[in-house]
Amino acid sequence: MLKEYTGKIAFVDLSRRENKVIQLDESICSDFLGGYGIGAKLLYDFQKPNTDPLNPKSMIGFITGPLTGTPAVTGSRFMVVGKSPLTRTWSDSNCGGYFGPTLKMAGYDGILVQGQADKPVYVLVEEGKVTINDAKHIWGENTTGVEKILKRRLGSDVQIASIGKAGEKQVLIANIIHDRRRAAGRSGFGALMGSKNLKAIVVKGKMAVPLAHPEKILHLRRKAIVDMKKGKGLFEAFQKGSAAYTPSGISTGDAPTKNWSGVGREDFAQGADWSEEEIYKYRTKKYTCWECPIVCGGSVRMETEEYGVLESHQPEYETMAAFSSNCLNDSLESLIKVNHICNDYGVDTISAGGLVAFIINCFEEGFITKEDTDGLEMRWGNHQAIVKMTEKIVNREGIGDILAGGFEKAIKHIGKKAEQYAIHVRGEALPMHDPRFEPAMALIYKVNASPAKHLPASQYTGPPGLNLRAPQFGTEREKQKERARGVKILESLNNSMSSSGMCVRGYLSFDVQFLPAFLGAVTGKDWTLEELTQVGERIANVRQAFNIRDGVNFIKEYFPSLALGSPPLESGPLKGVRIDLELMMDEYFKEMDWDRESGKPSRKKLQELGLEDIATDLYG
Amino acid sequence: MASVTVKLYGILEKYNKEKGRKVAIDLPGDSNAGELMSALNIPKERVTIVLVNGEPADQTHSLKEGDEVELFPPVSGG
Repeated sequence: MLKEYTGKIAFVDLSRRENKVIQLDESICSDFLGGYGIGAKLLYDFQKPNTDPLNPKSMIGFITGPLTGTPAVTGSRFMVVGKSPLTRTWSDSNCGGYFGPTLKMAGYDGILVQGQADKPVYVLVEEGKVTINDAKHIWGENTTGVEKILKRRLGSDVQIASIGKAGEKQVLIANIIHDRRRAAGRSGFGALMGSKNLKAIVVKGKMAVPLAHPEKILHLRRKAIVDMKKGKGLFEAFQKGSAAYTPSGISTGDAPTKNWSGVGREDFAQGADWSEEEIYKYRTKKYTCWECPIVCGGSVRMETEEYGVLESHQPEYETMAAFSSNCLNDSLESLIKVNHICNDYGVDTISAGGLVAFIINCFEEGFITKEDTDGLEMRWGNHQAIVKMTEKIVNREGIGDILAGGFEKAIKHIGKKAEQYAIHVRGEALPMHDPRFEPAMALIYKVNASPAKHLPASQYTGPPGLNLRAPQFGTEREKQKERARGVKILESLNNSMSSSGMCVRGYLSFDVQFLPAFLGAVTGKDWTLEELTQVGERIANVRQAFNIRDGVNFIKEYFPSLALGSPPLESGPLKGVRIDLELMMDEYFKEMDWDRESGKPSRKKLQELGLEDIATDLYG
Repeated sequence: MASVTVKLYGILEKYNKEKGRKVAIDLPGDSNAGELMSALNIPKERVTIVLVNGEPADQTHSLKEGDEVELFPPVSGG
C-alpha cells in the first residue's frame, strides 16, 4: 500500500446506527488519488443510480487526499462528495482549515455516510474509533455555537464540519462550515446533511501519518516556499487575500455587475475605486489553514451603529462581488454582515448573492412588489434590504422560503418572465467570473459534472511552469476555440491537484512540478505530470459517468444568455463580446472524446482509462 | 512628451512610488504601454490586462497626452 494513506474509509450507516471500514487498496489510490477522485469512484460503485439526494439511501463523503496532513505546502484540503440536492448532479465541494489533516490523524482517509438518523446526531471519529452521538444539545445552533459547545465538551483540539440552521431546514443552498469560516461552500451539501439529521462530523486525533521520504518532503517544502516567493505565480496576490482582487474584477468586467446586466466601471465606479485600505478597514489579523505559509484568511472586528459589534471574518472575493457589484451595493459593512450571516447559518455566499441580485432585478422590473417581499424595498444598492433578504433566505421566512428552494422554485413562483434574470445552471448560481471576460468560464460552468463552479480548471492561468500553448485571454472566435481546447489539460491537472489534497492557491503559486514531487515523496510512488494528467482525466470521466448513468445531460439545458453576451454589453471593456459556447463545446468534447449530443464518454476512452466496468454499465 | 495617468491594481500598486493606485507620469512622445511599464519598473509578465481610456489594449498601444492607462495583474479572486 502506498505510504501516507491509512487505507481506510469509515462507512457510517445512520439508519442502522452502525459503522464499518471500507478498505482502500493500492490500485484505487494510484488510479484516483483521493478527495473527489476516490469519492467519485466510491459513490459510483456504492450509490444506486437515480438516488434522490435527499433520500436516506443517498451518501455523503468527506475525503482527504494523500497530501492532506503532510508537510506538502498547502496540503490541508478535504472534499465533500455526493449528489447535490440543488443541481441533482454529481458534486464535490472543497474545503481547507484543519479538518482534513485531523481526519487523517484520527486514522481515516475519509468518511462515507448513508442513511438517516431517527433524531439529530453527530459522528465522532477519534483515534481510529467511530461513534454516532446524540446532537440534541446542538441541533438548533448555528455553526459558531456548534463549535463552542462541542469544543467545550470534547476538547479544544477537535475539528468540526457542521451545518447551521439553514442546513437543518434543508435550504438548498446550505453548506458545511468548518472552524466558523472555512466552507465546503457549493452544491447544497448542508441540506444533504440536514436531511440525514446529521449535524456535524467531529474529528480528533494525533496518530502519525507515515510518509515515504520524510527528509525529502521537508526539503521540497523549503524549496517550494522559496519558489513561491519568486513571484512567477500568484503567491503575493493570495497573501493579500482574495478580497483585494475586487476593484480589478469590477474595472475589467470580470466581476458581474447589476445581476450580470451592467458595466462595473460605469454602474459601480465606487467599487472599482475601492482602495485596499478601505476593503481591509476592519481586518484585525490574518489566519491560515493547517501549516500553510500563504495566510490568506482574515478576521475582522466591526463596530457600527447599524450592526453593533461584530467579530467575524473577511469576506472573500466571490462574496464581495456577489453582494456588491452584482447588487450595486457599496456598503462594505453590509458585506461583512452578510458574510457573517452566511457563515453562521451555513449558506453559500455565491448562491445567496445570486438569489438576492435576482430578486432585486425582479422587484425593479415590477414582477414582485413589497407585498411579496414582506415590506422590503428590494432596490439596487439598498444594503439594509439586502441583509434582511439574506436573513429571510437562511431562515426560510416569507419569500425567503421560496428562494431557499433555489432559482427553479423561484421562477415557478414568480413566473417564466423572471427566467431571463436567473443566472444559474441547474440551480447553481454562476460565480463572480464573467465568461464575457474569459470565455472558457462559460464552458466549465456549462459542462463540468458539477456545474457553475469557477475553480475546476483554474482556467485563467495555468500553474507556473505549465506550457499550455493556449492563448492568454481574448474573446476573438479563434481564441475562444483554442482556450476551450486548453481546458481539458487544465481540468485534468486540477482534478489531480485537488484530489491530492493540495489547495489551488498553492498550486497556482509554485512550479507545477512540485505536485508530482510532493506526491512521490509522500507516497513512495514516483509520479510524472503526464501520469497525473491521465489520473485527472480518469476522475473527470467517472464524475461524468455518474451523471450520464442518472440521465443528466447539460448540453441542451438552460444557460443564461446574458452571460454569453446575448444581448451584448453596449459599453465598457467587454462591449460587444459574444461567447460562442457551441463552438467551445465542439472543441472540448472532441478533446475529451465524449459524445457531442449527450456528453457520454466513448467506450474507447473509458477503456483507455481502465474504466471497463463503467464502459459496460453505459454500453452493455 | 506625453503626460499620462496610470492606475495600478492589486500587486502592481507596489510599483507606485506615490502611495495608492494612481500615478502621473511624463513619457517621451510616441511611447507605448510596454515602455510605460518599463518606466515604472513593472515586469511585463506581471501585467495581464491593459486598458487605455477604458478600452482593451496591449503593450504596443501608442500613448498620447492625457491618456488614462490601467494595468492589471493576473486574476486572483476566489
